[in-house]
Amino acid sequence: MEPSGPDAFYAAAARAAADRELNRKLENASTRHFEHLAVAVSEFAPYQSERDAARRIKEESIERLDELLAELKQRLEARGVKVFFAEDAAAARDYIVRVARQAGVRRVVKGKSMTTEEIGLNPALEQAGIEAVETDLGEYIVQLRREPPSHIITPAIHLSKEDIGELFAEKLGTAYTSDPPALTAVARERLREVFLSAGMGITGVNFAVAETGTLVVVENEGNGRFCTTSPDIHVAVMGIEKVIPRFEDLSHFLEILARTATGQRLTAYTSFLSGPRAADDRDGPRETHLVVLDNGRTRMLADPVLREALYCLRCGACLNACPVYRHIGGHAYKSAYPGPIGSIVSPSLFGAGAAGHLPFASTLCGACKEVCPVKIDIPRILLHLRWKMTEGGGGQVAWPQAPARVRAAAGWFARAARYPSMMRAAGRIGAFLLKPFGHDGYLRRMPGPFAAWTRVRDFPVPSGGNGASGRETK
Amino acid sequence: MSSFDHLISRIRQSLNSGAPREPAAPNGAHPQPIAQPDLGGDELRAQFVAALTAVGGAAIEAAGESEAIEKIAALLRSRAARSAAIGEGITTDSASAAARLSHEGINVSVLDTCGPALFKEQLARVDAGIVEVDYAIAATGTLVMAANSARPRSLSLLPPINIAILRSDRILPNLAAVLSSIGPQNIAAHPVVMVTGPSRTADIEKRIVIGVHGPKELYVALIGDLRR
Repeated sequence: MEPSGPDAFYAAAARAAADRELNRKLENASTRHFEHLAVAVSEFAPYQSERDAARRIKEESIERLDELLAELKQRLEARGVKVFFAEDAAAARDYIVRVARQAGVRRVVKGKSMTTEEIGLNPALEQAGIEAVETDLGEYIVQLRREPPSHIITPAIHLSKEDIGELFAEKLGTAYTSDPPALTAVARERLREVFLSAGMGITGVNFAVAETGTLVVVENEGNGRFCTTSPDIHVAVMGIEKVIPRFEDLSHFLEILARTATGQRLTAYTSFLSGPRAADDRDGPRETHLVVLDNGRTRMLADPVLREALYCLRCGACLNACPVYRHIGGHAYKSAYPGPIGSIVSPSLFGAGAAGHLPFASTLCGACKEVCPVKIDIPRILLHLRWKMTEGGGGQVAWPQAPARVRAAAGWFARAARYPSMMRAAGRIGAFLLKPFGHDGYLRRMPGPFAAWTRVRDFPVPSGGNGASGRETK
Repeated sequence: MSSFDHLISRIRQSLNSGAPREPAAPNGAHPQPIAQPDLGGDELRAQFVAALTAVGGAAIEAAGESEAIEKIAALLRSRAARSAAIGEGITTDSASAAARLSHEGINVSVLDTCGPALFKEQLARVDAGIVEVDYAIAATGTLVMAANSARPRSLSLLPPINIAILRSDRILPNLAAVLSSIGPQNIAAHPVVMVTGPSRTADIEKRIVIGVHGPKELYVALIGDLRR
């Protein structure tokens, strides 16, 4: 899924914010996530020092990226893995479709991979006449609805169990139930045959170890193991930033990733993949391919502030922490990476014209930075990108820009603020003038030069009663 | 220039265009794995069983190998499992274990006579997969298995019931200890999987449901080391 400029975002965000049912589901899921996380963190004494260790290793990995990718390539190729470097999404898609076609693959099973969402792989496979089946339960659900995931860890976070019950009854013809175990059993039964008959499995990669040429995939359902064990061909897709130097480094990542992503001590399954099966092995792929994707990541690398975004483990915790995400959900962002992390990576991955408005879709409250397992300073990067998108970058995004007017207004404010009586008078005049525009105590739409302010914000109508502070927000 | 060379040159340019590049950390300057708590065998064992139970697994404790096999047979009967596949042991004699289970009326598959396609088809019909694991992690209740031709990875994946055989002297305190015991050489040679409980999901309203695509039930036959 790719963003398509600010207007589509505003429309979708406004619709989602007004959807009380959606707000309730997101709030429930986030609350439950933080309950699990609190337990998982409190019982793990070295959590804070492990976050620092993980961050230091990510810093080293990005600093040595050229060298580590060369080492990874060499180790994997020595074991017969085919490594392909894709400059952009199209190159990655074309390569995977070509491999599938050449092997006569008719059906592909997929493990959850946001990188394949980023490159739009499923539509490309379908266009080539290849069936692509998502096998992660949440992904399976959203694929049945023919919609993209709305969260990078919990793809169907925007749906209730009743929604899913109705979906299964309609699309799969099963008797309606809203019982999660019963719904899960349906997916297990339907997908078992699909796993055993698929000619190719496609997964993401959580960590790639340069020292040993090991691809690490973490998951809970067992679908990742099926995708990497059962079909004759396994294709792994990863961004260039997934490589880490040493095998032992994994000890710093696997626990904090599981604890922050899902509140687990470790995920149910961690697969350490070494490549194609040996001659006498009874399972495992005959062929293994690794697609290493740039698609704008080297542009992030070139920017010393933005570079830090490449440390991301894709745990999804910043989505659950973000007040904006919790109000509008993932779909409104129209990016494979919604929420705070999405707002800092999407402009580089999809272009400033398509996604340059996303860094502005934040309150800069800092909850994302607090929860990030590798302490990415997301608010700082958001501000940096805002600057780049406007003055610093020569206005790369179609954005209502009025820096001169803002400066003038701030100047007037500074002058008035020196005289309390003038402030009070201005407050009363302002309240009087604004009153006709209020509705239910809020200013939602203002005329003329003020329209840009109310386009993305609702202001409480000032009462003008007590100094210039207006009334309290309800 | 190949696509790889192009990428590497873009990376070098990008790295150099930002802040001055810091020299790579000298050997040993990177963060070291966290220390292993110094626990005795009984403590490790108790911690492992508690952690395993917390993630939905169950331990079957046995003093020795033959008691373990007897208990596994009883478990299979109680779960109405009629067939099982057993992988080559690490210290356990899997041939004699298979013979014992057959004697108890369990239909035990022979794994070493078929190729990948037939193997998958056969294993998909088996009720229980039995495999001895290399290590376990006490802190997390995790089982660690390296696969090879006689101990295929699907054994702990396809059958709905997974039974692991674990010698208690193979329980290590934490993840860092297990990774260092496996070591970079072994991980490069074999696929390894770490299993923490039966397969699970929280994709529907964040409610935990056990048994998605992998095993629905996970048992660990824990063989005590009486010499300890």
